[in-house]
Amino acid sequence: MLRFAFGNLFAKKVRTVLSLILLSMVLAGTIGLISLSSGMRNSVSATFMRLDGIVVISKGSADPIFSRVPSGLAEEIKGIGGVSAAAPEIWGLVAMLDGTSPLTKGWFSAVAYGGFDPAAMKSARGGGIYGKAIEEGRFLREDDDGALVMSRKLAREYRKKVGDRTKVNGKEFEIVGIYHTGSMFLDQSLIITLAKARDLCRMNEDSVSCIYVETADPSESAVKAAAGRIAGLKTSIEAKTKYDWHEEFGAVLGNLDAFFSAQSAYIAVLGVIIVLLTMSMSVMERRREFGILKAVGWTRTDVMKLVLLESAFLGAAAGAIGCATGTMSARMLGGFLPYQPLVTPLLISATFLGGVLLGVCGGVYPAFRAASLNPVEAIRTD
Amino acid sequence: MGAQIPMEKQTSSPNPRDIREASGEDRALLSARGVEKVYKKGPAEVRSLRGVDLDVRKGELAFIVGPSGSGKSTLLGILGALDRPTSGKVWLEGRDLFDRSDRELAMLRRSKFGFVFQAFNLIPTLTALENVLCPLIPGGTAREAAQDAARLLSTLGLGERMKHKPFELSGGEQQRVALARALIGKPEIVFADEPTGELDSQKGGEIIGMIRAMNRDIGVTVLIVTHAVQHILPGDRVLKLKDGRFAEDAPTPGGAPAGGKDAATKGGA
Repeated sequence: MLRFAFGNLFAKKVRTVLSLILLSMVLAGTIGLISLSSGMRNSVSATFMRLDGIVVISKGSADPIFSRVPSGLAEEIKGIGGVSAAAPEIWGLVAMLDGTSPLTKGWFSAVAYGGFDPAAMKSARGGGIYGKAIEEGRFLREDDDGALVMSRKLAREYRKKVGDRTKVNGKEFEIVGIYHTGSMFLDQSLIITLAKARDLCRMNEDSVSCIYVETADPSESAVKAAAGRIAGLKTSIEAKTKYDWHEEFGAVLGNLDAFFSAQSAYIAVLGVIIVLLTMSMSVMERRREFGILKAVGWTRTDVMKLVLLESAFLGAAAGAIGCATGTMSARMLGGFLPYQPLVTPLLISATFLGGVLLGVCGGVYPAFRAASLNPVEAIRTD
Repeated sequence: MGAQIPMEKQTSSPNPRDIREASGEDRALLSARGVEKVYKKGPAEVRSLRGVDLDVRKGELAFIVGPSGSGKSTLLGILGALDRPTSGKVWLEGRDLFDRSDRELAMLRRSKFGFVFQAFNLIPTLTALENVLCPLIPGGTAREAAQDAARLLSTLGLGERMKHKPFELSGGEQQRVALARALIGKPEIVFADEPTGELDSQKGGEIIGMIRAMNRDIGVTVLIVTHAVQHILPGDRVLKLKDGRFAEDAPTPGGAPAGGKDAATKGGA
């Protein structure tokens, strides 16, 4: 029966090909959506896992860019037991980079500048996230004034290399180092000295954006305990660990997942309708054939099985094509995104099986119709 | 048309009809009493059959004739368990035919009945060999079944055409494939509905000859609905259906048939 069912798909080649195109596009779309979602989740997780320490920001600020904390807080935090480093940072958005707005560069193109105190960062493990990620040149030094460390991604986009000069919000800097973390968020930054950042965003001496804190013991319990103690210093601040960031972004991504799930459900309904229409048309055209099969002794179950097998084959073929085109599209899309969409073997298997399932679901009603035909009437069909 | 049909039952020689007669087994294989069929055609009711009584003995070959619309095909459909009667009873080997589920009726059609239709009704996507095996596909086609099918096709002169699709075969060849399909399940009864309807006289004669051969050689019971009365021979049982009832049921007397349509529509008697 398998061969018979498979062969029937080629009886009307044009219709089968059109259905396959539609259904595989639907399944490729599913792969695209889910790979985007999981790619982003992956990238965000990778970013937070790089944060060894605690970021102290003003309460309610979603990001250091929108935060203000007292400059003297760093000294207070250093006094807390177990704290090994407390480095003030100033963050702002780059309005103009080399005479153009970064926002004109496409998706995810916003660029931030981060002001660091090189002396304070010395106490951080490996010189902090950016210090550890230097690929070319060097990180900031205490005697630097107009020095800038740029991400590899931005260096490529703006065609810069170590030794070149660049203008950030109208102020000129010399690129002394290139870093690369691989994170879509961290690689959108320009690292300059704290004094220069203060100058760029005109922040007074009493404030900084945040304070980066590390503990001598990097274990989760030690980090969380220190964060609790820091948060107790002032009511206007909060101390966020990588675990807190992860949880917050997890909630945001949860909403994104819900959106993608709704899209996938819509896509599944569309797929079922495509199979339903294709198989209904096929059953309508083959009434006489089903009449013959019933006349020569096929039971209702046998006829249902045949139609369901045909629709399952249609779904499986569309699943295979959809997986291939979806994976290729996701890879191509990765070239235009700051992160790589994640296509896993599990996603491919699930999409393929989903295709088969869509095929079977869409084939149920046509199969029932075929099985219910009266053989005498069906055979008389012209 | 003395084709030898290679069926297991063929090995029960001498002629099965002789064996039955010798054993005294003479009761009806298929009986019908008061069979009526009413169709709904829009608001109107069409009474296709109006109380048909019939007994068919094992190994018999009978022709059902009558004008168009007299209910021949409807009757064949009911006797072959393709359709249920509105009222009346049909018995197969003494058991009510329709006292069975749809599944049991389907299994009966697969194992005890064979069908040959006017328009050949082959599956266009299957080869001749696959078409013959078609009734057995749900149960799985074993190698022996494929060998049986190939033997049947060879016997019917289609040894070289087994891999051909129906559209590559002539009408006569397609009907022979249909005949092989009817025989693959080793049926007890073959129902042939206008088997020569789409063939010229010569090809039609060949098909009827093959059907006669299988009746003679393997003892399969045959009911043939036909307009082509030139194929009826002296001594053949002819049932004449008119307005949904049998008008006559008699063997053709010697030398009477083959005289054309007129002779047959008068019951061939």
